[in-house]
Amino acid sequence: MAGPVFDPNAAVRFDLAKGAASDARGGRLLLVSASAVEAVLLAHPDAAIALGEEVGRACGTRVASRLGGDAAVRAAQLEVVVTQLAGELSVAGLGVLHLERWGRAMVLVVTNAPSSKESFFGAVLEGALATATGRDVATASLGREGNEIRFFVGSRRTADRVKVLASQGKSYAETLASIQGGAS
Amino acid sequence: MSAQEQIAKLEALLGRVQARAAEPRARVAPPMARGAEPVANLQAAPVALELDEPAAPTPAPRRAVPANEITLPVMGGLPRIGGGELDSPLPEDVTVARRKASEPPATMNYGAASDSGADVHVEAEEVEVDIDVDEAELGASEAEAMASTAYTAPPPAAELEVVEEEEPEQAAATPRPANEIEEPAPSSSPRPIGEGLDHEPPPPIQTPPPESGKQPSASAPPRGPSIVPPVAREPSILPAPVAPSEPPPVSEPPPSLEGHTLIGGWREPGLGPQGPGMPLGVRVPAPVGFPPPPVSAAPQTIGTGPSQPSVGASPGASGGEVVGPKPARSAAVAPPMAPAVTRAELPAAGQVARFEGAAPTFAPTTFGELLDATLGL
Repeated sequence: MAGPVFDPNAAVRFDLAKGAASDARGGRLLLVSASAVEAVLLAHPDAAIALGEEVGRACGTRVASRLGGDAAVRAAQLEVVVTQLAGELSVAGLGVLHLERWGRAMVLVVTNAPSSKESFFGAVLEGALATATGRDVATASLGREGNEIRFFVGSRRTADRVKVLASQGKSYAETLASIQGGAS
Repeated sequence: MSAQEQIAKLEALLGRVQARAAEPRARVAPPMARGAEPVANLQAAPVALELDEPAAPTPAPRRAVPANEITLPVMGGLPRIGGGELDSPLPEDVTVARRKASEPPATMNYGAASDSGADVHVEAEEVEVDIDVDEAELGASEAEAMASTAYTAPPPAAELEVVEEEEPEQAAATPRPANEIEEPAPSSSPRPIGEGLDHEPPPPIQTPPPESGKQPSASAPPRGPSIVPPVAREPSILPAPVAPSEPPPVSEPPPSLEGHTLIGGWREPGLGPQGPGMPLGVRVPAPVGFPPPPVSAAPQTIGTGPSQPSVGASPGASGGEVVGPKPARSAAVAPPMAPAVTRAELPAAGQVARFEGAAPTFAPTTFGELLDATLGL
């Protein structure tokens, strides 16, 4: 089982002769600019969300391949999984990822995101986690603080409550406390 | 002495009395010491004289018959027989009765043969008649009459003597009646009476006889050591009932001290007689501004023995101790108040709470556990 250290060597391979970019496993890569994604998000939000989910599933598949499958990912330590996920998002140029645990709730924090659209990054995280762990998970934005965007990770129903509470102007702490009902 | 001679002497005596009464008063009698005494406690007994024969007012010798004596106290005014003449001679029986103050005033009737025929009202202190009668000359009935309070005048041969014993106190304020008997100066007197009245020493103390039951007046001016407490005669201290109309006895406490201090005090009725050294009480005026003594302040008794603390006496005066809180002298000298502090002694630390069991903590070891937990929300 891989350790908590992420090895970025040979993560992207550029074949200049063929004019192709590929990952370590030989899958083709497309280098897209951030503004292009922004345009898609502005023109087609749902298409941008689908794009983000596909980006995230690619990351989750690589984590799961490194860690030995989705069961191994669930059985792996938090630090190992977080490190593999964070490495994959960093190579893709989607920012830095770390994990916060608020009681029984899992909160993923993305720093230095290339776009201001939260929905795109939420879709990336959902795709990566679902692919890596083999579970159907949903995310909901808790808000932005400076250069950080927090996302609640949970079931679809709970993610929808968090979106409602966040839209009412409550802080992420109050929202996390309210969804847990006092449970620590 | 025969009866005729006695009658003659009596007539002479009456004549002299009338002559004295007719004379104008030459001087005023000195004030008596008994200013507080009532005017007349005793009045003269009725004397009924029936004069059958006119008698010439001839002066009679003062002491013609020394055998028998009739002691008559000076009365406020002797009867003035109208005209100064007696139409009828004196009878042989002269009844002299003693009456008391409660009895009506005495009246002397001289019968219808008198010139004026008027009744003379006589008031006097007391009438005492001492009659020495030869037993041989008196009958059995006369002896019995003498034993009673009413006396029958003895037959002639009795000697009459008028002794001035007591004067009513009103004589000082009011002029003496014209019929007052003025005693001539005794032969042994170094100075004639009537000279040097201004330099005359105060009259001697006139005290009533012991058997009279009277007290010397408290208002008498002090005369030094001549004032002797009436040891033998203190009928006023006896617990005898006193009539409401009568003045309070001398020994009674004053009705109200009115700020006066009574030195000498008074003695409760019923107590034993006081010693001869007991001084008289002297009432002195209270100092100006001195409050009246309390009600319970009884007159002090001087010379009766060791002083006893009275109820109302102040402890400082009697030298006793003052029990109780002493009054603060001043607020400035008083120490500042300090509270009495009682502090609790508590331990520095202690296990005041005890936890049982353990709160369910979530410490996932794998990523799968945290994912299941967050999906379970």
